[in-house]
Amino acid sequence: MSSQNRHLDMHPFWGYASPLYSLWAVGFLVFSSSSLAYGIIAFLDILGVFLASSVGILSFLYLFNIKERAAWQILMILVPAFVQYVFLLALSFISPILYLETFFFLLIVPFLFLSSGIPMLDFSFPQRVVGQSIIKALIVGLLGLALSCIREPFGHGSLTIPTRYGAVNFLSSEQSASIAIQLLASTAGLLILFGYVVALYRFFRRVYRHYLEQKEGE
Amino acid sequence: MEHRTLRRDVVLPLVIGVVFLILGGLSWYLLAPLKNASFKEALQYLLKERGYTYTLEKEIPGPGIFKTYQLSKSSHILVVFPVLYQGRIYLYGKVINGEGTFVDTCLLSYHDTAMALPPTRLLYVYENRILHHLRRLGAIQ
Repeated sequence: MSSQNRHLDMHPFWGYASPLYSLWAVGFLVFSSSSLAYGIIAFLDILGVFLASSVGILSFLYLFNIKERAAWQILMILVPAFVQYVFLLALSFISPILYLETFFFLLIVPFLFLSSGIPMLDFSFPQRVVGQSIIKALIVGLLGLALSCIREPFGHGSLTIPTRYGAVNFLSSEQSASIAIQLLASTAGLLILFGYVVALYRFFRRVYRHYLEQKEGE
Repeated sequence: MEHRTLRRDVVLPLVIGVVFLILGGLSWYLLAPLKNASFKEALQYLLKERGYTYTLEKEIPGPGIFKTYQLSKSSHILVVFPVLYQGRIYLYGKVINGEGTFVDTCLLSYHDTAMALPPTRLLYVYENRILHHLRRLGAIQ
């Protein structure tokens, strides 16, 4: 394999472990992109959990000089789960209603951390681990936000924001609701929309790979 | 088993697990009363906002997605739960009397006339689950 191809395959956005390539975040996106309010909460959650988990795991490994694989593996499970628990606890204080509405899909986030490919990285390079965690969380979080900005206005004819008393509509009217394409708001609609996003991603990935190969040939 | 293998594969993961368990348990124990007060206050506010006159008395703790409250000045119970419909999550409350009969349904989520609400038949699905949940808690016969 050429060095350019290896660089592409290891890239956090274009590589094999990218959420758009291996699709490890589809289940999470189904719920988080259903409305803008949930999208914002999910974005904050995934960014916080990925960042705090990678920093937490790195701190454990360095402070206690852990080299044993079994201990390392249990840290990979317990640290994201604990960070998620802290986030949900904070959310239940800040907005108990949003907590009741979102907690069952936010519980997926620690599993996303495990399947994102971050635990497979070499933890002797802390900057790379933290950098990859932020990039992967940003990709999934921003994708959720972007999809929610399409799904909610076009599917429901409204936009919601998170408040202390749940998700509140700040843009809504009977006219916009009557012309909304309700299919987009459903899970099937998200999967159709996501299919187009992935098709576009794969097209641009092929173009980028071709460009890298040409560049290497010169 | 060799001493080093025992330490590596059993003792260390066990110690880490116990530390996290203590941390989680302690924070849960210390913060649960505050958390419950926060839920009660928010739900009471929503009930008032949506025009319901029910007053929450005390929470009946239990597992799962249902939050259960005893209502004041009656033997009625309010069960709050989220309903997923067409990509939205709606917060509903069901009021049940002491004999296990449903007497009222409250929509607690914000909604306007433009929003499509879940059909009644979808809410029926939850009724059996609620009754099962309350029987398990010993709140009804």
